[in-house]
Amino acid sequence: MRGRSRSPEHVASPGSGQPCGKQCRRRGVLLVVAAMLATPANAFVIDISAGNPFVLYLQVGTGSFSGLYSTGGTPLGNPTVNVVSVTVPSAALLTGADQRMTSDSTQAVSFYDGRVFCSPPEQVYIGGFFRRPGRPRFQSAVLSVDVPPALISPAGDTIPFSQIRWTSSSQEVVPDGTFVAGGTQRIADFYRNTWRESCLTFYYLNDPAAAGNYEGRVTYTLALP
Amino acid sequence: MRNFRVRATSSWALVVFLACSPTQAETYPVDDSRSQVLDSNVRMFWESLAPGRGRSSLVVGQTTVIVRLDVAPWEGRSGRIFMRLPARPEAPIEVRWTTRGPLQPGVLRSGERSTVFAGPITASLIEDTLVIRLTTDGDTLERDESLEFSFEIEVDQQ
Repeated sequence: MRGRSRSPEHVASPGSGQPCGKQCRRRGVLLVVAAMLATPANAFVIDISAGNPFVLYLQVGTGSFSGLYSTGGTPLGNPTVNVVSVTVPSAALLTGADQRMTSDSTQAVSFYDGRVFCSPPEQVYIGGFFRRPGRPRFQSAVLSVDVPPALISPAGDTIPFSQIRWTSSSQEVVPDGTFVAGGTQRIADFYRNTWRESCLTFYYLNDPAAAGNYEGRVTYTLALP
Repeated sequence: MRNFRVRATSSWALVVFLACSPTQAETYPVDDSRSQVLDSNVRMFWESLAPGRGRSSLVVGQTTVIVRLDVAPWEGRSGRIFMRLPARPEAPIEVRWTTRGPLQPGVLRSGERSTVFAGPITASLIEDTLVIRLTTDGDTLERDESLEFSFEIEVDQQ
């Protein structure tokens, strides 16, 4: 492209208008070559690269954000581990009726835009996103949960984690499900470059169990496959 | 021999045609080889750390360029100088810049050119500092790329 551009010198050297023979043509070719060599190096170059290729953010229950996303906020870390619990009333014992659980999370607001999104203590906020440049455009991160085999009481009695299920306010984000005891359970895909959020309500299935306080911890993870 | 004569005739016809276009502005490349990119390796960052619903995923980067244009061949004449960026097949790159001196601020998309100067050329060198902001779709930024800017001038007819 640079070689095709006409320099002032090239334009100022038209022929004489005389009939052109072999020698004339050769001279013309030499003139063009000289013009190409005289063309200045006329390009400054900026190299670009992906600066922050991966960003992952997951919030389950209580989270922290500097401001709101819609106003330029930035996600912050929060080490809080929320507790979801239920005390089965005596009238419900041996009935098998599912018991709705409540959380100590007070996270009602979505950090996306500040609107009230979930209704604690019944609902637990879950949301996040992942970003990366390049292709494939429709890549997803996987939301999974590590589930121990059982909840355990101080006396050593157990209730399998499969006795707990959840409903979700946004089925397309996180579908309803039940914990699968003793394993890593894939529960949703977070599509790339998209904010995903839902509200979970947990239920204890209330099958017969020995009296006691049972505890167990599940851990949610958002990761690139 | 006969074929050669035909070619020669065609060449002169072209020269005559060019010479008979008096209203056509003449365009020349401008030597900016003395320009200096202060940070030529620009890391592109997400425009916003978190993605938005239905929004494109833009990445942005910024650098500063001291532009030095050798306009000695056209000193004393008037014209317009353009900055050009070749087309990027994957997705356009938007270039916005501010200036501090004789050049005009503006915006440019890859594959196009934009005016940076218009008027009489009163010196052999035009120098200015451009703060350049680059924006493109992060989904298309798969590898390091080089953006080659260039300048060209359209000289007014005397």
